[in-house]
Amino acid sequence: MSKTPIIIDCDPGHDDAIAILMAAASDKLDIKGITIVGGNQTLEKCLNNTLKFLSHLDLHIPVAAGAEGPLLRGLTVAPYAHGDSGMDGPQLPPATQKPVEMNAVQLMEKIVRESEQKVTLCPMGPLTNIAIFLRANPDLIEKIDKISLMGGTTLIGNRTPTSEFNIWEDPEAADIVFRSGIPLFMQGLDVTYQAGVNDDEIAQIRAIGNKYSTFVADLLDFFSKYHRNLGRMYTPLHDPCAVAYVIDPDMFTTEDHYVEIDMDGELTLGTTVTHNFGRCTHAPNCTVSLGIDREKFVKLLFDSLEILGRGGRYA
Amino acid sequence: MEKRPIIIDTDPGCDDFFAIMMAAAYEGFDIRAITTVAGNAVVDVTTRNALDIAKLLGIKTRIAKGAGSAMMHPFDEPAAFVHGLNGIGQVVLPRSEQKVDEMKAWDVIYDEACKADGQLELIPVGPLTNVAIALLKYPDLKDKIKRITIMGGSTTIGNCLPYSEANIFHDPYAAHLVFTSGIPLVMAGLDITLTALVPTDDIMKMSEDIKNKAVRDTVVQLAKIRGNEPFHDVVAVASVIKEDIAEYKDYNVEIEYKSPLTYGRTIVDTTFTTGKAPNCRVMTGYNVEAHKTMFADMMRKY
Repeated sequence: MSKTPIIIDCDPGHDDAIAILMAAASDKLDIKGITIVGGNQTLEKCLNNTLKFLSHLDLHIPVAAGAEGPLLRGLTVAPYAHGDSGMDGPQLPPATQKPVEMNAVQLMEKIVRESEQKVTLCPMGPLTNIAIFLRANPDLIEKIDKISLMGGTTLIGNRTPTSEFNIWEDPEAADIVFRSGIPLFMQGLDVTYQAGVNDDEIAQIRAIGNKYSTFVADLLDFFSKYHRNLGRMYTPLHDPCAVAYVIDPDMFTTEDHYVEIDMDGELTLGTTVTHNFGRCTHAPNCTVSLGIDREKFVKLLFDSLEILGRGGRYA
Repeated sequence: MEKRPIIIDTDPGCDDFFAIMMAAAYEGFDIRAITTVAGNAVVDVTTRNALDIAKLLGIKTRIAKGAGSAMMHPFDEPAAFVHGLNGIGQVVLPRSEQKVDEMKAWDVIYDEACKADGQLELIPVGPLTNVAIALLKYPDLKDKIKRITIMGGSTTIGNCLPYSEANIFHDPYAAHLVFTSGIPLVMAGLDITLTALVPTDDIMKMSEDIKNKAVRDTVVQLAKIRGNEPFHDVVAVASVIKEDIAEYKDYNVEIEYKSPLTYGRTIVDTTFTTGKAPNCRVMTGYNVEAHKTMFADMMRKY
């Protein structure tokens, strides 16, 4: 079976790092590149976090720096969730790896152009890089197989009452992506809040006892504090949902809807307006995940960390 | 028992008819006025309907005409597909000879608020234009209203846009003024009123208890036209009569009025993301069985 070539576009980010590890462990996926965008923290911090943990875990995947901030708006970071570094928790030595000599869009172009198979995009930060790539390469759109993105919500947001952080951060970029015509799979807060781990499971991850699991447990020890303070039993693994959907879509329950991005709202800016009330005349443009088999998802994470511990991945 | 002074602000409207019917059947209310607004039909039609409904149901009160268009936009199109061109599904009511009040809706609201010594409750079941104009014209009005119980908005799904309910959608600017007024608010939103279904067959059976033939005929016609659709507006009135018919939570609610995609969405901060203080008691559950009982009891009063 040929592996699915994917590009991960992200802003690590605790859950971003876990998503990358889940993808790296999967024998169904071939991570062709990791592109970085300013989001959870500044571009510089997110890039540094990525290179640091890839170096520490001895994973060798091309990394490229992308947009510092949204297409039209200023960058707002999320230290309340991810700490001042953007990935507080694990104590890692300085990075030994360097980014490639291309920017994010150039790396995406190279990968997509050179790939024999269609490429899958997994964005898990603001959609700025992806939007620039799509606008700059109309001829390459047909070589994108699908986009499985972490972002949006059909109802309740986290940055505002109605808006999820990634889409809120760059609504214009999201609009470009949602209108692209590329098959779109939205892993929004509806599903990602169901895709969490409890404290017991975090302890089990630590007990796996390799450097990958220790790193993830350190990430989750920090990340869970924020969510526990909000009264949540589970620490959501938002970004890994974007990867898990590509690995095993059967794990998810979905509905097809027409989804538009609100770019004008005083209060609802960045809302993924989901036409799910039955009077919509538009054809659906997005498969929206609404549920997940949590046990299966958590097992996929555990298995991923054990597989990585056996070595040989992206060496 | 001292009767509770109320004003129903309305755009009749099939479900408005039943809301008025339920309010008038309740001995605990002193209906100080019915004020009309454009919504289900143009304001001249909703006013005509209010007069005729009052006559049919034997309600003696002031009926005052209000706004013909929303705060910021000319009135475009009545919701004819829902309520028929005359607002009540082309049902023809016996014509009332009562004259429309000489005062406008907002002046009547203020006048009655002053007379009621802080006890007046408003039950708006249409767009909130009249209430907003009253609040703008009389800045001291906000301290004279005991409570406003609104049929409008939604915590989840809409009926005009994905998240926008019709009454708020028709005048979100007015809704914004009402929701920021500081007056105690109760919101009977679409997500709740959609659950308050009394099936047409049940209404037919209940209507056999109506002694007044003209009332009975009208109820039967309206129920048939409406089909198995909930009478949204009745929920607001029922909850003012019997507060424990619903469950409530206090939330901050704001109105979006800038975005074409979410115009008129009531943003109910159920996760306390904004950190803003609650300004509204939002209905979160409803006792549909008790609602049906109230419906049946109401029929026996006519």
